[in-house]
Amino acid sequence: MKKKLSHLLSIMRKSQRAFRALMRLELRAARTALLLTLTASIVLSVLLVNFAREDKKVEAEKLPVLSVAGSIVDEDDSALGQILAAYLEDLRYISAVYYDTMDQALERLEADETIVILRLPPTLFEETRTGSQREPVEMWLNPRKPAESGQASLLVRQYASVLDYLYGTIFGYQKVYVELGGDENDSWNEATRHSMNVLVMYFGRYRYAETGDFHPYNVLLHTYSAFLIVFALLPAMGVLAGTSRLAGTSYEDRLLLSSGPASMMAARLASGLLWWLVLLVPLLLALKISGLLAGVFPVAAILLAAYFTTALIMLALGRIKVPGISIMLTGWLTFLIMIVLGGVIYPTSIFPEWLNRGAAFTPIYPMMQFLYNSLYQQGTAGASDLLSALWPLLPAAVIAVIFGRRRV
Amino acid sequence: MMTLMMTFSLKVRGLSKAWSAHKILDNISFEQPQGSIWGIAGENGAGKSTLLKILASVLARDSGDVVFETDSFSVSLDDLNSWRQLIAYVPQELALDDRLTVRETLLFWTAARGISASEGKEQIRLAAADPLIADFLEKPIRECSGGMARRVSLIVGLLGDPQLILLDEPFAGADDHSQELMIERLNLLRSGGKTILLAAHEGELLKKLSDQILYLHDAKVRETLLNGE
Repeated sequence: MKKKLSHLLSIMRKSQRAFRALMRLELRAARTALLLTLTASIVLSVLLVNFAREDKKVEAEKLPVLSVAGSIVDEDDSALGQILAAYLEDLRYISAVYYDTMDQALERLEADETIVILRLPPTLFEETRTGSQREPVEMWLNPRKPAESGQASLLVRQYASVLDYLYGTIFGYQKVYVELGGDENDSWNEATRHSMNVLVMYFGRYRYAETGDFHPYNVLLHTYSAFLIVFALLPAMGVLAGTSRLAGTSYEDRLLLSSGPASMMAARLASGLLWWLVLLVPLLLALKISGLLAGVFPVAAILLAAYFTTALIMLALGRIKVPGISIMLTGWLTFLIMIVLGGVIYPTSIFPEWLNRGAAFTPIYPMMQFLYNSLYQQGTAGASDLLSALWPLLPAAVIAVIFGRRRV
Repeated sequence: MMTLMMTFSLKVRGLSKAWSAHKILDNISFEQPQGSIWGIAGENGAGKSTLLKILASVLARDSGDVVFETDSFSVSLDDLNSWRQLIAYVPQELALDDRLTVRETLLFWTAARGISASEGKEQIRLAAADPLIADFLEKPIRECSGGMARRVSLIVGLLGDPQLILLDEPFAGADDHSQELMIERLNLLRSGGKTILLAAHEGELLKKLSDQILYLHDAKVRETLLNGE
């Protein structure tokens, strides 16, 4: 046992030495190209930071003419009041939302701190469940600011119209659900979920939507995500080129005999990782500095997974016994299919329904979704989303172990 | 009588290899004693390189057993890790990185073989003093002549003190001087107890160097000529 362990350790040490030697050689060969790429990546990142700052400045200058504060008096004390307050707080033309009692709210209105009070009656939530409205939502407006009050009331009326329309839709939906054989209690859950999704659609909000529901589309964030994904995948093409160049040659025979297949594969993946670092670290830092990403690590983990998934597939592809040029063409075609079906070039929602559904099972799709959502939420995507986006790594590793290894 | 006293080191039994229906090696068997040089001759496509590649463990065989035995140990080709520690393989192509100098080439292959830094330094020191390459140690491989590159390729193959040395056309493209130096080295290795199996087209050279020659024809060993016969 001790002898076996010592033999194993000795093999591991030798593999490490071989790996280091292979890496040194790779580094030496790619030194100049790596430096040039790093410079380009840094320049691109600086441009990105400047662009993002400029964009924020323009956004800030576009502040709405109307900027109001208001109070919510939530006598119902249900989830509805909290949802409303949370929503209003994020509206650009609302400078402050106070969660007050009626007395506090009136004091604020008198002191001209606010121009509107919304009073939610104690039976509001119950009434929304039954659909029979007895007590209305009251709106108190500041008489000393008629222009602002008028605009605020106009907005509230617009929302009220939407909600009124929603009531009809939701209750109709719930009724149909029960008629179609659904459970009475379940129908309320479904109706509530549906109503929230519709509400989100109207108000252009992401917060309440579940995965796969309506997502607002932002071209700039999609472009950022797409760039990150493409930059993460490019080093994998280097892995393909390196593998196909040496596959089956006497030089590879010599490497196989000297360092073994594991060191060869590890060195190839590690040299791609080096390119990944050079291409992506400056960009990720730029996104962080410019405030587009709050947390860099989950995004970096996904981009790393995107690289390894593709690189492992390319390790296998590179061993196909056809001329090098054919392998490279196949590789680039695979790359293109992966990014198109992953929704990197265009959102998959523009595809036909069957293709849109199928695209969700391609390796880059969950990663692109994670990136887009992370940028949309400024890096606050959850750990469960992160883990569920990593699934393609496992099949890719299996493919690499079976087909990507240099065999005797 | 002489044969009975020999210690056989390389034992090949029933070795076969085919590409689809085309047999390359058909039930090849031989036993080569330790401290000998055996040549493999045959026309183009006779299977010389295939035989060496199988023995070098870079090509899979269809059937057959290969064992390397001495008085103290026995290693089978099936035990890849141990087998690869035991052998040196110098392929027909140069298989060198032409961006490196000769010294850097040696440093790289020493490390790639997993040899420790201290041991590697010692091997480089010895190799640097080797008459085969000492004159052009700092020369990039791409600037080396065919003969020089062949010598470097041989030295790279010999790193790590292998017991069984497999050489595929080691003299191809080498000038007379390089050939002489290489032959001298191979003789030295034989006298040091190394077992050497080499394939070559140069018939006269093979006869001069080898203790025995395996002539491959139609996927079989047709003749086994003792040197001088």
